[in-house]
Amino acid sequence: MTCSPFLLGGVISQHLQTWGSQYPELIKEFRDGLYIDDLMTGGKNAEIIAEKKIITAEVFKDASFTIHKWNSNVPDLEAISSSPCEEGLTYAKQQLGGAKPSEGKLLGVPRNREEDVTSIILQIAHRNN
Amino acid sequence: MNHPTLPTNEAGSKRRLEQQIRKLERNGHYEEYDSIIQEQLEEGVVEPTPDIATGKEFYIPHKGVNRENAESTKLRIVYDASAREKENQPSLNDRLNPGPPLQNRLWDILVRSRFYPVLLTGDLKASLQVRIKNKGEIRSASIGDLQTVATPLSYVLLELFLE
Repeated sequence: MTCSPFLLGGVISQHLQTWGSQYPELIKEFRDGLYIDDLMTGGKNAEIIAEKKIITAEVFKDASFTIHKWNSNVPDLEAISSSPCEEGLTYAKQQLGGAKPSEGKLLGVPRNREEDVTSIILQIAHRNN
Repeated sequence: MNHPTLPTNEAGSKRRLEQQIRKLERNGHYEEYDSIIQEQLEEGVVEPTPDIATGKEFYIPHKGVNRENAESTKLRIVYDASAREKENQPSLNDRLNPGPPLQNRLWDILVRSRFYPVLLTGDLKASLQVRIKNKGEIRSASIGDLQTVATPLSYVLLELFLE
């Protein structure tokens, strides 16, 4: 429905507000890094992100959102799972050749993780004169 | 408001339902589709409509979307809020207020993602649902547990899936 993105965005925004006083910096990051239902976050090193991942899962779990399809340029971070079931499925999919691990997506945009390349195809509209 | 009123879309939805049932029977997904609706009934996502129509109903057609390579749910019911009774009449989506855009600009996020030495992304599973309080005005023509096309039951949608 046309109003769905707004309702979803509004609910997430409202939820983040309730966590704002507990993790002000993190919540600000979420606000800047969310695109509809995709979340992008990051930091200086893997240890920081590992901890951040746990808190991230906790904050969204509180609103019944589970986060799946974790992706990182540090492979270990994808393994620390907040929901083993989801990760298991993804792992199975990889084993079955469903998706090559190096070919991921960043917010829906194709991304090659090994080469660290994000590619965007721009379509140029031709004007008929 | 200066706009044409929203038609009930009942005739169109029933027509689409008949087509949908024929298609489901042809590709062997009828039982599965029906079981999803039964599940929704049990979970309280839908409920049978009251027998007496108030005249303010709107019917939403629905169809099955089959994703063979999906991880979990292969067959899903998708409601078509863009359906219109006649070409010159408005759809439900035409009459809904989409609200202001709340999402960030994709480009901004992509650029910012390059500043992190370690990047982590994830998908929110948007299992979020909005419960409709003032029910009875949005209906969905449905198969129900009837094996016959002739008398389709309709159900009130109590929850909107935000996907």
